[in-house]
Amino acid sequence: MNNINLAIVGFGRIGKIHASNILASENINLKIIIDPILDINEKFTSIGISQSKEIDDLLNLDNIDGVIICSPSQYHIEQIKQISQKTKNIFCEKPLGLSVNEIMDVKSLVTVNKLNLHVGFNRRYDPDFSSLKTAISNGEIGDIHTIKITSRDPSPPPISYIKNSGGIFLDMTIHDFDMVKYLSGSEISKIYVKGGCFIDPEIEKANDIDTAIINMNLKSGVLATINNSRKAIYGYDQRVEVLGSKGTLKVGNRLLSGLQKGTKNGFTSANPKNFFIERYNKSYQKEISDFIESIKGKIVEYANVDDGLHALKCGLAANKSLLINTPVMV
Amino acid sequence: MKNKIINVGLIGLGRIGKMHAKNISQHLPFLNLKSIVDPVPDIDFIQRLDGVQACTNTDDVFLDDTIQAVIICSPTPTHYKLIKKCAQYKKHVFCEKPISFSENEIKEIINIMINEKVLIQVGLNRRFDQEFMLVKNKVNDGLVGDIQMIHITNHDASIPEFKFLKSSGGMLFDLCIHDFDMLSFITGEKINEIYVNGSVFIEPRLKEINDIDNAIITLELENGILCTIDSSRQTHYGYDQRVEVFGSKGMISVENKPDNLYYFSNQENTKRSKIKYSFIERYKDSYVTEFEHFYTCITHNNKPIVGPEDILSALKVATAGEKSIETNQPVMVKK
Repeated sequence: MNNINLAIVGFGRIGKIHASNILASENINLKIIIDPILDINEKFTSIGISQSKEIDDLLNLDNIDGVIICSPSQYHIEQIKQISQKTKNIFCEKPLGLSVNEIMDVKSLVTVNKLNLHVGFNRRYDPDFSSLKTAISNGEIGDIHTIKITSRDPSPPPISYIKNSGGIFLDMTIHDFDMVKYLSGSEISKIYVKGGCFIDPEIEKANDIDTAIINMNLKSGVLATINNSRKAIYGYDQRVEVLGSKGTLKVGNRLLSGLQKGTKNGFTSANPKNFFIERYNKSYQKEISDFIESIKGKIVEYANVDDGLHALKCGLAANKSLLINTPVMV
Repeated sequence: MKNKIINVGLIGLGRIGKMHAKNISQHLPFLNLKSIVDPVPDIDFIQRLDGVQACTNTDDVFLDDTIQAVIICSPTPTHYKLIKKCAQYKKHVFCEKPISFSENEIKEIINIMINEKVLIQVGLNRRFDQEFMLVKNKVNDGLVGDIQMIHITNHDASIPEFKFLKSSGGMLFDLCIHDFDMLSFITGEKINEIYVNGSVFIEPRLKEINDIDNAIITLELENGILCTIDSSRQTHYGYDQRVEVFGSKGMISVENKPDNLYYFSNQENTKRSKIKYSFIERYKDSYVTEFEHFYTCITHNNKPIVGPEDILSALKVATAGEKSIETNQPVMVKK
């Protein structure tokens, strides 16, 4: 098979991660990078990667096999529509869109045009969480009863980002909503949220919260809870516990180092890895390599438009629950 | 100075009564267990304690002038009358939780004890657990800064018999009442609102009596701190008791105690023991410490750090929690 030609739309932090993973893959070409505020990087030019501020420069190419969309969330839907005229293979970062209607549009596009649309719920590709999923599927703890997710960032993003993020539930918790669905194989049916602003009053001024506890019912009957904080002073805290009829399964944090120290003052060990790029490093490689495999025609499991829709609906229900302080059906 | 020995009587020789009796004779030399009352006393057990009188009538304790304090471990519905009798006979009371399911009865008890000048301590033993006392002290020292969230895990190892479950008052009153109290103990705050998401996964008959065996509970304290309690009647791997206090300057966690410290690793994996299997094993020390406190309170005429007021607060939370299950809505806790 010929080399596969990919394009990246949106060259921020996450776009750069995908680019470096693509550059490290054999027989894969990164043809073009699109970003409206792009600084032309000579290093890329020298290895044959085009760079442009205009998406038209991508749409005018005729040998693109797949596109990775990493632009700000509000542009996702429009770009999927444009790019779907060029290629069936699209990888889009989460959240897929910010309204149910626009994702429904994309859903019909996926059906009609048989799009191979992957959503960037990267945590599904984390080795620890995929082992957890496998252990659940193998029935190692019997029927599952409860799921408990701790998901805390080491520090809040800039206020300018928070203002356009869609809020904590669409930006941050959306990964956790998807994790609940991924692990349980069931959609979330009802959500009750308590939240508050404990970290930075500027977040409150931006109409968002920085701390939340989410209590959920799943269609399958399973109970689940998520707790979020925008600032865990000790690092990126990412843990999952599942309790079932025969026992429990847990995923703990990956630490910065395996070093432990013991002195007359006691023992110390390292904190969790700094942030998502370090913690979920492998998942970013795997989600893109799986996307590439699917372009080649291999059948892979991936987060699809329905998963994107489900997570968004959960985020919206959570927003509503916070507002009216009552459980909300998804 | 020689420590004064206090004679005590014990009413109700079930599982917890036997544990207290053993602790007093083995670990609490300043308490002298004089009489044990039970409708069908386990004579073998009592004889092994050496020097303890077995009785079937509570009057044997009340009318004994040498007995200064009574330990009540009988079923909950009997507590109220027994406590009143203790007050009448001027005997200090140690009563197992929840002393009563009725708020009015508890309020009445609070008044009677004040009027009769007798002390009452309630068996919310977890307040005397070394780990949780350390948590409380470190929180008070400001180690975690401002608390933002608290998460409590409280799982039984194996589900009690249905007969017990039926008379337990329900999962919120029996199991989670400790957690409600723990939240107040750690923070010094009352609970403002509760939402209970409960289900029956283990014992289907619980549905018939409107009880649950699993719950995820969201709570808000009066100062805004957000909390969860997740609770299950059965884990198989042990009595899962963890607390996590998350604040602006850091996080305090209390983990489970393993059964033993034996590890085995081979090409497949590393195995280690289950965790402590029951409250008696996990909270062993706390059951001794709570009586040391009780003794000190009696000899110094101090008010015990945990009494009917705390049970009343926890009971109000459980009552609101029950309403939350019924209505499927968050419920404000009665002030």
